[in-house]
Amino acid sequence: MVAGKGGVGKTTVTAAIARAAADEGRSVLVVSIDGRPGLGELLGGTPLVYEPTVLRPGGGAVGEISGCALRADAALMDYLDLRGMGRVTKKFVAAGAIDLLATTTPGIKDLLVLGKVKQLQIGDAADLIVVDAPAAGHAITFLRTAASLREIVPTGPVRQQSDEVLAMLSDPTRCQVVLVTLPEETPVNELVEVAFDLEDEVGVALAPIVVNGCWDSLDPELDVEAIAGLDGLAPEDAAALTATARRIERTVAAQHQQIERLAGQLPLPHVHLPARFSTRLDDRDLAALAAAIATEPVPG
Amino acid sequence: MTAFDEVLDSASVIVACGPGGVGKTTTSAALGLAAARRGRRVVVVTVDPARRLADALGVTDLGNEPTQVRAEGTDGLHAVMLDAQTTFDRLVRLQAPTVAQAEAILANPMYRNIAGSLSGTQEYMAVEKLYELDQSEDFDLVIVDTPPSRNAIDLLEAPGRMVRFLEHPLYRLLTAPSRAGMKVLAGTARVFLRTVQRVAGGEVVDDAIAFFQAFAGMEDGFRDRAAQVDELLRADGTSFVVVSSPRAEAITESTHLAKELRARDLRIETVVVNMLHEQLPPVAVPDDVPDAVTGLAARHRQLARLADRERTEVRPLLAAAPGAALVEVPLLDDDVHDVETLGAVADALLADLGSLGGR
Repeated sequence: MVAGKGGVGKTTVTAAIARAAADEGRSVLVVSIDGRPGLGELLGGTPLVYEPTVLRPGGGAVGEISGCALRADAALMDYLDLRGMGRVTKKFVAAGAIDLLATTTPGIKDLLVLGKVKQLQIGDAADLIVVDAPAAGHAITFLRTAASLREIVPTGPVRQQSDEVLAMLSDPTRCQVVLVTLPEETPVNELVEVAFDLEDEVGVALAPIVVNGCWDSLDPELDVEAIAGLDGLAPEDAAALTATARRIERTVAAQHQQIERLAGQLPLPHVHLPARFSTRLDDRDLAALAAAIATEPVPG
Repeated sequence: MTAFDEVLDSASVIVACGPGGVGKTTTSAALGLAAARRGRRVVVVTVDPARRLADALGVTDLGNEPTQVRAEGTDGLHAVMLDAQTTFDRLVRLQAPTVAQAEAILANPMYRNIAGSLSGTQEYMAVEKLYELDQSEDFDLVIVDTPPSRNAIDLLEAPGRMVRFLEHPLYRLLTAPSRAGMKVLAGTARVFLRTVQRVAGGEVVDDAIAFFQAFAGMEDGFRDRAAQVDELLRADGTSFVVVSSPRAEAITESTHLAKELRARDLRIETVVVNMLHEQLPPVAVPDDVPDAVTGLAARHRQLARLADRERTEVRPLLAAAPGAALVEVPLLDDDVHDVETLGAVADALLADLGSLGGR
């Protein structure tokens, strides 16, 4: 489960993890649950739909990547079908009953989606399932659903479903949460808060933290002071380059400070992903990010 | 005059909407500060549970009632962090015909769960709070930082959804006043109840019926309120601001949002693009400079290309909001964590970079 606040690159990291695992020969299913577009396309395929579709075929030492987009109403259909209620389901949905059901049983939509993930996991839909979870604030509610529903509903199928989802979430051999952040103050603060909440309230295991958008330091060979005195370099070019070097130094220093703060507050290893200086990622960017995902995490 | 001058001086409501992670909360807070500096009495409403607004304003705690924010040169800035539960409770008390019915709803266990956590409740209560504050006359300007919703349109449709819900035929059957009524439930409602029973268990159904019955007779009140809120959102003094970053995903989402707003005849007066990289001049570097300098030049060109590409990405958003003024905010070195750094954002919002060709 990949979680993080909006804008930190959660979907990108989901794709990079999928790509890294597939490159190691594992079959991967990516799952989008917040309805945001882009994940299927990022992995070289078409927009995701409810039924899993192949995004990148496997072959040789490379695993297949497929993907799907889960929705609560379709998951409810599946669930009712599974319980032999196929005949009533069409009528049920036609009456717009999902909203009423959601009102009578708060959290049921999230539980239905998580239940579907659990079903995919038990059914060995792939060697690895990577879920692009909802944005941070909602991720907590989302993952806490199973635990809170257990308190409201003492018996019956919802209770059973909650128990089974909770069993998956709290078993580190089956499920881990990857928290994504940027090396910036606010995203780091939020990540720390979310991490403690997830461990305390959901009991879910946390995988190494992914710090996205890390800038490379300046080349240690570079003498910034000497740029202005270089032969053949026009003064305006020297000034522009010096300004860029200072800019890089400032950004890198600020990022290091945040990464250190993160390490000081959370005893978890980190993986650092390089910033891609692009407004939209292409296959080369994704390959570079997948390679960084596959490196050994920095101890926290 | 910059894009925001007129809005800050004359609007009575500003709704800031856009995708997550683009600096919406900071933008809302900075607009609030800028308007307060002009002597207006301003309240900024956030629904963000992450306390970003409190951080940006340099206050430790924000509650459901306006808190004054100390900022140099102004005493009119206030902020509220929406507490959906408290706001919903107040709405129920207001709408219930009798105190007894209000208390029955507030005590219902299902209501307690829904008011705090049901998806859509936050959006609903955000517009309710907006309406409440606008009516209060304590403020000249209410700024709403919309929730990080999957679809910001949810916010605008939330009151209508509540009305549709209360008018749903299933709901009407469930609110039949007595058990005798249950006998004549239509087939669909019976199917629904049986399904809920099988899915969630029998206790839930009893709670649910009690819950729906508790709301009986309140449809008209909710419908009137929804109409009032809708009127407020369409009023001349209400100004929509679409906030985005120049990243492709954010632009796709905000462009979609802009189109949806227009489709509802809601006028977007301003588009704010945050986190723009600074445009850089081209550089020429001779072949015989040290490798490290060649490498630096490559990084310089990479940043220059990024800045240019960002300006291209923004075009569809501008096309989707014709007539809207464009405000560009550069990527700032420091995160906003107090009123002073927020002041820098307010300055940037009111400055005009003009690199995107806005008016």
